[in-house]
Amino acid sequence: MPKVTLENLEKLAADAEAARAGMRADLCVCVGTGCVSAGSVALVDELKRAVKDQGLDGELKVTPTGCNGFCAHGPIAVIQPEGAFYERLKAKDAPTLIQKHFVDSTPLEDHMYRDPETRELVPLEKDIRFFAKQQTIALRNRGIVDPEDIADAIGRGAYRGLRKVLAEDMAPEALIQMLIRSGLRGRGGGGFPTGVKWQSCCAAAVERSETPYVVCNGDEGDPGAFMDRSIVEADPHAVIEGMIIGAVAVGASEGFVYLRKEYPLALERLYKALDQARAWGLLGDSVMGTDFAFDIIVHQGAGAFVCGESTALMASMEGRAGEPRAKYVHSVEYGYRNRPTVLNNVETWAVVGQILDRGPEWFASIGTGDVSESPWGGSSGTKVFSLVGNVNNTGLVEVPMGITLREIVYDIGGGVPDGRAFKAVQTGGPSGGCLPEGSLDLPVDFDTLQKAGSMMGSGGLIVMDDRTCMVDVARYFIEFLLDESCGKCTPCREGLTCLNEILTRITEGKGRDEDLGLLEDLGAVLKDGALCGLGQTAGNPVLSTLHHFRSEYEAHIRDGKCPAGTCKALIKYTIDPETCTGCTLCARVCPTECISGEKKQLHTIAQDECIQCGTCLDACKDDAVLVE
Amino acid sequence: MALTVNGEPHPFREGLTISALMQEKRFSYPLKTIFVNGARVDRKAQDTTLLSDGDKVDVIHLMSGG
Amino acid sequence: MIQVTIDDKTLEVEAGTSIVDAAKSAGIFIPTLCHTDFLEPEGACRVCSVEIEQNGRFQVVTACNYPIRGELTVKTASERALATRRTVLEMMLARWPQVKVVRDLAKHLGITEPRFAHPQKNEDPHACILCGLCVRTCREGVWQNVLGFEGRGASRRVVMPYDGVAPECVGCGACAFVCPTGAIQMMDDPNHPADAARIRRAGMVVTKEMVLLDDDQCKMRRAGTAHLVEIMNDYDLLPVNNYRFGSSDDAHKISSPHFVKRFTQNIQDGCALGCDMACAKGSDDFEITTGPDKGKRVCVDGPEYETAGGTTNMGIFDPEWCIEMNYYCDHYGVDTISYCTLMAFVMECYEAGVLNKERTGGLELPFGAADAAMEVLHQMARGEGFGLVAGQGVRRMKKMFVADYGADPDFLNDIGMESKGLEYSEYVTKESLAQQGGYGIALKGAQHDEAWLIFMDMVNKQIPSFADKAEALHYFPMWRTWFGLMGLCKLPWNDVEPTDNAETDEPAKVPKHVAGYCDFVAGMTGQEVTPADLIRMSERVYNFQRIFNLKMGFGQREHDRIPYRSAGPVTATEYESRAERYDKQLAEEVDFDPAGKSTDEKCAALRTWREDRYEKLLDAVYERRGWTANGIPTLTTAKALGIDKMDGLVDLLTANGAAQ
Repeated sequence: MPKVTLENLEKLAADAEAARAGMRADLCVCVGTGCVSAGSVALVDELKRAVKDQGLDGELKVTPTGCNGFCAHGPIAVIQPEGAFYERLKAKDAPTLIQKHFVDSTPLEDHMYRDPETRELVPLEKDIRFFAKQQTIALRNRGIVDPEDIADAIGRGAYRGLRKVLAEDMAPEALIQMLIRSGLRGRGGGGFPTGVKWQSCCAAAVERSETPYVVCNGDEGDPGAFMDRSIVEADPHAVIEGMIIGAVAVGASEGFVYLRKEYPLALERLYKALDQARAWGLLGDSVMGTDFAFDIIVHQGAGAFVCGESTALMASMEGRAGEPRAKYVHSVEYGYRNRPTVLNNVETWAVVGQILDRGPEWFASIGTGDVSESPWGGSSGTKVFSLVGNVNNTGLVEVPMGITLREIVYDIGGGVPDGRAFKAVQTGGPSGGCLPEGSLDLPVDFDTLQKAGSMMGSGGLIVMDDRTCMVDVARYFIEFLLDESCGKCTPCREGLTCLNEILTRITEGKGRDEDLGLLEDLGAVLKDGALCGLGQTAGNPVLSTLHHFRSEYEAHIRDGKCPAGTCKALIKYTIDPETCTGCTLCARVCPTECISGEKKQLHTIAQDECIQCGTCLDACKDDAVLVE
Repeated sequence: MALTVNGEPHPFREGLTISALMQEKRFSYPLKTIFVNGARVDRKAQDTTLLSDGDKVDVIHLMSGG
Repeated sequence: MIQVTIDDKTLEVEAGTSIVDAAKSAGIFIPTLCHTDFLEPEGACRVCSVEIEQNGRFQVVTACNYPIRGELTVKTASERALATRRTVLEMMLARWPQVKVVRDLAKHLGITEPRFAHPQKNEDPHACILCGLCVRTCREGVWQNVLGFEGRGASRRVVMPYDGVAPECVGCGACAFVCPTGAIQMMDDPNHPADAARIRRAGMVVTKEMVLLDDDQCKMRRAGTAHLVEIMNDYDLLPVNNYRFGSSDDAHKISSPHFVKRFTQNIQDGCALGCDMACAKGSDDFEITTGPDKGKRVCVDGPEYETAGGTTNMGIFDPEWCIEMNYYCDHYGVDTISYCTLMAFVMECYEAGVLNKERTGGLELPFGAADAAMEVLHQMARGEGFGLVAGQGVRRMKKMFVADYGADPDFLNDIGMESKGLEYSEYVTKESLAQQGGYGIALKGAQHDEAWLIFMDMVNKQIPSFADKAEALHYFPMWRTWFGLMGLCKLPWNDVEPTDNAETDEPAKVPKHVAGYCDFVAGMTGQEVTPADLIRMSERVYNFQRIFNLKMGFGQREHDRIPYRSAGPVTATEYESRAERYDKQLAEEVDFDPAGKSTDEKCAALRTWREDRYEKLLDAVYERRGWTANGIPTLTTAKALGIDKMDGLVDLLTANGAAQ
């Protein structure tokens, strides 16, 4: 295999592109975790076989790629360069797809995307509304690069930013200034200016004559979030390139990726990418033929949410229990093994190469950033979100900073399904906050979301419809956080326990008038008193729902009612005599067999035995099941 | 101009502190107790205590070894 | 210095001072719960929350672990700080309503009843409140690490590994000592001592000293005995080139920082389970460069001072070589001291022409010949080549070299550093007569573990007369023998010392620790003992051993002889290297004017004087011990000690002129 050098990178890239251009088409099949679960690995095999069977080996290439993002519609194949989009493919569809699209030159309509509103077929990916407003930097190679083939990545521009840094022999401070000018702020949730972080690390390293470390935080633990996983699965070389550049900037010779064990595919691809990068001379004693030496070691996290906190992560890497320590002295000064350490999140590392390649001004031109006065000015670039919950188009999206929540939820997400009303969107993961309809026109950036009582977090976005009880949502997140709290400090351990107790009581209809005050006090002690970032923000789900949906709490406490109709202790299911057709469906699905009634007769629910599971409600085709 | 250190003469100079004397004598062992003219000098004061000509200094190394 | 304002007081503190410490120095009280002076602050309980203002930013921080690094205003009782502190205590009170320390702190903050119910409410007044003091004391304080937290969040609790009683727990009781609620109770000791609490109290004294004082004193936990390399060099006691010299300009190359850097196992190890001193060190991931394990990465147990001192004694100043030699000695079952001292002898013989390449099987072995010295070690283990000769030790080599190579027996006896057949350990004793006796009279041969009197004698000048030296050579060997009788290690006796030890009558004896050992014996056996009783125990055994030696053909004055190298300069080079010292001694103490004399003449005069003094020392020691002039315990002594009932003892002593 070739050794990549400063001189030959461009030629290697040109060769890879030429090979691609020489083909008639490239069938890019998503092999991200979602599509793999839906059978896309077999699809790749069958497509390759079908290409061969049709004698099209020399003309068609089949490329397994990272997550396409439109997960709800997988497995997905996009035919490049034209961009034809096929969805919900099974392995058995492979011969038909090849036959129709390439031999008969007629599209395979059964597997084309149909716009839910217009009901019209949308043949090209770029015309699908889900993709229309997206702009990709971190995910730029998703769906087009084979993450297991370094040549393919180089063909798409990987390591060009690094080459620039090494070829121009850029001074660390100049490099750091470029990062600061770009306005890049940490994508893990903190929003700390990346260049400033590197600068502090450099200063500490010089002052103490220590070799610093660079660390990539891939311990994504928020329920429903899969941004980092998808980036590593789709484009591991972007992360590696970013880390090498970071190492040049701060003078590190060792880097670490902390990636959770529950991400087997991401781990597999990362290991392969690292092996290839070493073999190609991009890591090791002589990076790109220069005298710069750097290598990356992978630490597998055992799946503790708290290990996403930087100091807990480093404790875990050191072989100790993953518990945070006070950050009065930052880890850029005393981090991993007490050395100065730069820790950035996967997404942050993944955009660094691009910033160097295309220039900080290009990056700063996207989004709302303005660093002319302070590195904290606005939010530059794009942000990746995992869009989930009660939204039509669930998936992974990358949007420019400053886009509104409404655009994400409605234009990209396609709105709330089943014609239900939007109620809230939860941003920032479990310790983020819930924002109501009135906040939908807020621009999405670090500072605005924080001011609104939520946060950017690492990019979880959960849409909730009107059948979501906000007290129950707060209880759910508090329960999650209590389960994941390390238990080291009193406010987090005892505070969450008490919050959970009170919220549970409220959802059970046993709330008391003074409870709202107690919730606020406990939220405050977490914010001021907890040891780490996780604890300090753990009150957010309660405080933000209390702020925006206070009446819902009051309804539970004062009226004994759950307005959303989900708190089991407060609701009763009945069957409407007017609309019930006696179809017997509800009686058949009821797990406790408490629904009785003859065929074509009115059915009734025995309240004593009903467990409020809601199965009948979901099953009834005539909306005859009522919730009180 | 001399001090007596553990029974042996040692040259005296103005401004000589106990700590400096320890360095001159290469008394580097940390566990020791120092008496000047029979009075014990606190460990913390050894950097600042000035010696006078003719002082009798006893440095007791608290080591009974290996 | 940094200016900080705490409430209404402004003071200057050193950068890095915690708010708690700064407040304390200003006489301002900030309540704490999980904080104590001798452990790293943890910031876990949050009881010490205060509000700070820096650059116009207000923030609540924990005072115990917030380091003051820039100008700062602290409000210890601002509304926001108090709100945090109160709610923290309220939550704790809700969970542990009967625990006194929680109740007191809550009351101090004006809380008597919590506003909320806690699902894990525990009415036990001695409930564990998860402050973690025990866990941290066990880990940071006593280095045992047998306590830890298990579970996350609400299910967090303190356990030993696998929720059992860890066999590694030695019952030091430090955890129970620091526990603020009484949640930790000590179990009965399976050995059924008469008074376990008394033993624990005695042990706690040393535990506390190790935790609080060791870093300032001997650094036994950080560096172990290796810290002595540079100290011995400073005092001219580090053996160099077969004890010719006591220091070297190269000593810095092998000083303790080189080893400390390598020590990866600053933890309790298998030397003595539960020892707070934990001086045994390990060097992990060490790559072996010679011999059968070449290329392997191994863990080396050590090195200790003696192994490093032995290395310089061969004129080698390479810490890596020292560690590898340490490894192979352990691996082959060879004592590092004996190996080093016999190799130093071989090297001097080589340089003196007694040995040559022909006689060593082709090895060049002058001082500093590291590779060849390592090869001899491998040959010793394989039982081949020159290893077959060297492996027999100094005493036999002397005889062989005289018989086979016609070497000068007087010269070999002068420089062959052994007594009673045991190679010398690694201290230069030339300037300490008492220590010469310490080596020479020791029952088992030239080992320093009966008496180490160099500092008392040579540096401190505390034992100037023969009678003083004899007293020390009675007391200390007896005292150290007592550790052997008990199966105890001597190091905790005097390698950490109470802060007020210097003010005691006899600091060298560390009286407080001796009293602790009396408590230990009494706690174990139920019999009260005095320090004198302990010495008496040793005297009985020690004299019995001496008589046993006599029975086996040793144990007389002639066996207490020492090689002259340990008492003075054998060669002109040695004399000249310390000429000022020796000339002065000749002039002031020997009444011999060195002016105009040749080095050989001066050497001879000094030798006569020093050898005579050694004989006088033996006379004094024998007398103090109740032995004859030939070094044999008299019947009177044996009777006084109650060891005279042994079969044949009276006949044996009578036959050896000790019947009186």
